[in-house]
Amino acid sequence: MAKKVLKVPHKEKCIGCEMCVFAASRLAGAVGIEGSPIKILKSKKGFDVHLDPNVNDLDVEKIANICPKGCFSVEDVSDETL
Amino acid sequence: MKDNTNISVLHIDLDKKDFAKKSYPDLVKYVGGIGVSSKIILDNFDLDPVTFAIGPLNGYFPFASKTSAAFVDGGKFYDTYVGGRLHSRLRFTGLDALSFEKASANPIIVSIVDNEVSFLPADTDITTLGVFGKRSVVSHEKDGLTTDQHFVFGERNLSDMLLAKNVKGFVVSGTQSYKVDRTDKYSKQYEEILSKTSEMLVETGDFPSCSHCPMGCSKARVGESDGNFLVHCLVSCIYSEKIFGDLGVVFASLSSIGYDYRHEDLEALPSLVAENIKKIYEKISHSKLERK
Repeated sequence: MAKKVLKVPHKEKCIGCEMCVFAASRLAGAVGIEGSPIKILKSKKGFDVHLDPNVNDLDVEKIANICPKGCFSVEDVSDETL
Repeated sequence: MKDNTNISVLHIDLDKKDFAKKSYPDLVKYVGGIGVSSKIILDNFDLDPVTFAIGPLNGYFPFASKTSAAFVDGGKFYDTYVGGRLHSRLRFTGLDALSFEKASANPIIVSIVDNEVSFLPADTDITTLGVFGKRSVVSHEKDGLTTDQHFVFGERNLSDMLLAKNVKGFVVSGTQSYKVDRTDKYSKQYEEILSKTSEMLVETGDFPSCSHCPMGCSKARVGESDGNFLVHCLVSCIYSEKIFGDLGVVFASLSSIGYDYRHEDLEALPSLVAENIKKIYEKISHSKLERK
């Protein structure tokens, strides 16, 4: 059985808008940053995108699609490799 | 669940290094932003407040992505706006506004985590304060008062006002999250607002973006100082005027997150705010006469 897994292959494109942070919260039934499985931290080069593994319990396609810069991809990973 | 029946203000007494969170049901009619700030300044005029306020849509909807600041300087009332993360961090403190009152005797940095305030020596490294990922750092930079080391308020004298109060910077961390009653209604309205991205009056870009705004536009770095009353009470981006200048859209958005505003309430806003500002100018005139 394959599971959809959120990846960040293009984090250098991140503009720090946090649309993904809020989307993940909304999908988990909340409004906020607290408890979101995604964190965007400012770094020297731009922004770092931190994913908690439990983000993959949510609709990761929706999270990937809301990013205006296409930072995310969704990969099918078999349960055995998880 | 967020309490929509009160406006919560954190009064920060810089002289006594004390603070108090107060809830004002009578301020709800001013919605937020310049509406709430003008009333706080009017009611606390003698404390020389510098206020930072958000509106009811901040944290909930895209493009509601600014923070309002207001103050009186040189006999003039100012309201000015900034992008970045400050608005969403303030939202998740559970507060609607901060009011920095009187002045500190010594230079300080102020750290706010939800409803708690710490007064720290000015030589504290401000970048180490607050809750990482849930904070916004406000500092004095060469272009004026700056949030998140990038976004600048539209009025430069705001920086001078805070420096005169001996506030060398402040950090706001918000660690709360909220539920909405009708998630289906809220999600639908969220999608509706997001579908209006083409109505934004700026081009998309690759610049650092305000929290909860997907535009990444070149205009975000420097905040505005003039514009639409309703947009400035909601504290949404001035370039979202075609979206949040529409009373129907605003009413539907507020309703979807549990606010009971009526159309008449929103229509009355400009005159309510204008009345506050008029009374502030009366106080300014009166205080000038007293000084003579």
